[in-house]
Amino acid sequence: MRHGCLLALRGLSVTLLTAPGWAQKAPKYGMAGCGLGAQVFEGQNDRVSQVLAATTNSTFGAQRFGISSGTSECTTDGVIGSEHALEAFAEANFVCLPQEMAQGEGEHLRAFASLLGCSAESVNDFGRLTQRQYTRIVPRDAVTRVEFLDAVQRTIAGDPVLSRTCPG
Amino acid sequence: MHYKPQWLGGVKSEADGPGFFFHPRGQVDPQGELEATLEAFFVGASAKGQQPQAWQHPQCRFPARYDWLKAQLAFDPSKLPEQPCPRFEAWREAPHAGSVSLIFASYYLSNPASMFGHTFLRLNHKRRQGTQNLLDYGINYAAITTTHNGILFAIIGIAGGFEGRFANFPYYMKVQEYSNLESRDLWEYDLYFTQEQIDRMLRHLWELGSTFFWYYFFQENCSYHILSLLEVAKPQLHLTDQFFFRVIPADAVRLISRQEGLVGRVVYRPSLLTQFTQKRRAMQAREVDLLQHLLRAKSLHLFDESALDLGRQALVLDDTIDIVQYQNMAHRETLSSEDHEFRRQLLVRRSQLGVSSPHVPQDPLSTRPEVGHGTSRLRLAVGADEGKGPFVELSSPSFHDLLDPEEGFPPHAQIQLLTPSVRYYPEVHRANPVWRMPFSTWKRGCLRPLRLTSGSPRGPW
Repeated sequence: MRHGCLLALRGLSVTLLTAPGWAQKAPKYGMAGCGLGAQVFEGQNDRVSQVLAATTNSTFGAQRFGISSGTSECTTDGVIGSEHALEAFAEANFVCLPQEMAQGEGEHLRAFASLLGCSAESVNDFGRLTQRQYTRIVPRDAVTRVEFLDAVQRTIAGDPVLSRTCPG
Repeated sequence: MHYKPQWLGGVKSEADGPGFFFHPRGQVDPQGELEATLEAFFVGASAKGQQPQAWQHPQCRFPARYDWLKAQLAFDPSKLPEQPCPRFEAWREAPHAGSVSLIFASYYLSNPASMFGHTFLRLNHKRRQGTQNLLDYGINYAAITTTHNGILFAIIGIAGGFEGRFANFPYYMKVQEYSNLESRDLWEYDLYFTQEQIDRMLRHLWELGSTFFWYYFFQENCSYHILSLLEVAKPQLHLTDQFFFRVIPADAVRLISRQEGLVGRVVYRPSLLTQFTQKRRAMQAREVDLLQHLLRAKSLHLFDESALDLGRQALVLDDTIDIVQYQNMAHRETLSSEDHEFRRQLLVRRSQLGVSSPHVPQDPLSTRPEVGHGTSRLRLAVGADEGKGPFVELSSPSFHDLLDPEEGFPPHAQIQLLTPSVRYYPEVHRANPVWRMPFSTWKRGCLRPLRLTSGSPRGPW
């Protein structure tokens, strides 16, 4: 069982590193946005354009998430491919996730656990584990998305219970 | 097809992208469009050979039309073979939509542009049954803006010069955007639709993906098109024809809640601002002092000396983390290295406490939008002006005035848009006939483009 997890883990790391666009892009987000969210205000830091953006609700990514818009790097017709679901979620929630990990619980953390494949019963354990291992998962402030996901996977694999209930 | 009767006779479709029609004059010629559509449905699958890769069979590009015509005309499958539509099917299956919610993003006065609120839909996953809503998909209708120039923007927006398009976003992105970035509360209205109605709506939504509508701020805006999508799901609903001059999202929510048997559960999702405000209200005075000290000193030094138990320490830390984040969001600035370090210290200390956060009731800071008053009113007032004597004023305070009941609106605030008002000063007017009135008297009754007032006390941070 343990062996299987490690194999799966290696598989995932390879995907993360080779996935075009997502994994290799230098992280652009400051705290202003949660990953994908950081693109909202990309290049429009003045107050006026922010206000305008809100007036029309013209958010970023209309192209990427357009219905029947065809295929982009992570979406097909506006739907995120299942192989990108975990990365996209981590990217978009890159501020909330560490916070909820430090708190040991939260709605984003539950969704994240389910994308990691954790069974419904193990979600609370997952929250407590990430709280206990917080400094291991987020060893410094400017951790990259890839390092973060990798650390989460390693932490799960290193836990005797969760390596079984969150098989990834 | 979104055909609407025109004032000068005839009909015109509201869809403005040419890709939405088969007939060159399809936007104004339903008969020609019908014939061209039927003809297109007969195109053999072999036609794909000469087309670009993204080409879809007409039956697949317009599944709702195909479905409707098939039912009306009883297509014979041997004469009109049904084409496989893998792209559409994959898209339709992905959200596993078993129910639909209408989402209202409330107003937030720090951002004047959000004053009318926003509406969009969420497709709720069949099997998750309302848990893990973050992973559901949202359906949004928005303008694709092309300018950052404020004045141009307003003119183009009101005149309908931006393309409005539908898109589907993961709901967690919307939550990030509204709850966290803009600190706007979300209200989620579960709607009762049958699976068949939801499927019909999705088939039509797929068709809309290929087109656009000119986006008009006041009429054909986000709420208008979201309502029209709900009408597709359930044709018995008459929503879009209830509005004449403008569709304001709060009015749209009010209209939806008035429909019999349409709205089920209503869920409130507090914004970051509401969350930390409620946490602060749950604190005792010395805890608030500690919080303020933490924010000023940007260090945990004094925190170490506080004799709070673990749960209360967690509450203070949680609130501090939220506020640091809020300040960052509100100023839209990158954190200084000092702030980064402080946040890091807060999170590490929070994880070391090893406890859950104490439960804090997240009551809304404002009431539900649909319980608010209507947004078109007339007001008659009397008063007196120094120098000009008594007056009678007739005005049409649009949206929300300080004197209005507060239910459904942000507290202690007024939001006025294009408020025409006219004052009549009997004494002045007696002396000057209307056409010879001094300019200054007219100026009193000016048209204010927009006025926002907020009397809410600011937080101590």
